[in-house]
Amino acid sequence: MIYAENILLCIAMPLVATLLFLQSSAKRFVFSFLIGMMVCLLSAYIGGFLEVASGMSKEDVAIFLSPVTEEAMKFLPILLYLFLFEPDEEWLLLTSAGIGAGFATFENCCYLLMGAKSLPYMLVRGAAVGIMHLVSMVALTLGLNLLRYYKMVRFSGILGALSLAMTFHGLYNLLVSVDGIPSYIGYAMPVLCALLLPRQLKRFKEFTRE
Amino acid sequence: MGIIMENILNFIQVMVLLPLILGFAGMMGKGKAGMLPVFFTFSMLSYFLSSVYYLVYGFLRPGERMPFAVNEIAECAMLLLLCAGLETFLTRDMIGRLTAMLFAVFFVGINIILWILWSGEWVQDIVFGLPYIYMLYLLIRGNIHYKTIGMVEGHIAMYASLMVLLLQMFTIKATGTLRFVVDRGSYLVAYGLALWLFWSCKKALQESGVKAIFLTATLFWWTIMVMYMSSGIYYDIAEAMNILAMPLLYFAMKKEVGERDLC
Repeated sequence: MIYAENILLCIAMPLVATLLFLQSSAKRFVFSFLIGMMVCLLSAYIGGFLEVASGMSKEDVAIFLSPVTEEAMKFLPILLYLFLFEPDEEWLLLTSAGIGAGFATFENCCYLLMGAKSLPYMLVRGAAVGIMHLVSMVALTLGLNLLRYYKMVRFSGILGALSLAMTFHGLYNLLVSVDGIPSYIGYAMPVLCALLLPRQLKRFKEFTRE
Repeated sequence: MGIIMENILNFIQVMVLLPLILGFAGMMGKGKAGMLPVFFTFSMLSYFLSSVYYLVYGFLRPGERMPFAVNEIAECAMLLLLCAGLETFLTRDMIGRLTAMLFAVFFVGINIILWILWSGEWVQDIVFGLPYIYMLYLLIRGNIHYKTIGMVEGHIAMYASLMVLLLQMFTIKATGTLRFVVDRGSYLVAYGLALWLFWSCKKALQESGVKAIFLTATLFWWTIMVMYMSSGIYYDIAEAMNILAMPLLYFAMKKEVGERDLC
């Protein structure tokens, strides 16, 4: 049996070595990518614990509890980074994109371990999940940057934005849990958001420059 | 029949929320609007997602009880983002913070106890009840500071809301005709308070944006509380009131943004 920890080590080791040769934004992105993968593993541990503690089925945990734990776990490093180092908007966005991409990559790898389905299915699932984690992180960071711009970084705003990301994730998980049309709608959701997000990012940059 | 009605109302809610979200989003970045439309847009987006989640769940898993209500997280998001919007009007040095907090904790605390008695989901009810406490705290502070209603009216509203709670608590122990009378009496007071708030909002919309925002937010909050206190057809009536309160929130915001541009 291949354990998730082994997969993490296999992917992480070359990336850790890469850090020695990279500089500036590339180094930061690879580092946050590694953090994202570790956060994914920790989320899986928490998910496993909750499955045992709550007595829910694996599917119910994935639909109802995973969105909460995963989004909270992904958000924690960003929040720590924000409050400890007070990075500028670009750095924060880069870090969140790295965490989102690392999380999605490792989750896809673990999904492969559970028994890969057909190539087209893996393509669709990989793209949708990959985009979903990335979109939720980038959107959250965009929200954080907006709060900082207006000097309104407060508990209610941050928690509200996080809860919104959890709901989006929860709706996605609910839709893809059923085969057929609901899962197609679920897969399309993050893709549509990903198409809208770059425009919003551009709008935000223009707005803050004014 | 009840479920069909609930789904129809949820669908109407989604349909009402869509143009409202677009309307709020249209105000973002305009003039001196600041963060306010951003918070309200995302708050309504959360509410929209909550309704969509509920509809989708009902469609995909009909008759199955949610082991953990994800849509309640969206409702929390909706309330917290509304709170973040309301916070922009309030400063730390305003008076009456302790009184507002004590009343909010007491009022919503009793409600949470009643929710637990009805549903048995104590962790969920406590956790998801906290944003209601915070929002009531902000609403009391805002309504007092901006003098949205008269002193006497405010006191009457406070006692009426406490009376609703008292009557609701009484229905747990009462039986037979007495229960029927007390139950209907509590609905009467709760709906009466909501109708009075509708009338006050209408008046405030002609006066000032801030006043209208605090009053419509109070109405919105109250209709949600009444929804959670009610069952059957009474729940549907409260939900219909909640749907009607949403456009008022939009008009209040529009008035406030318009006033800011004039300054």
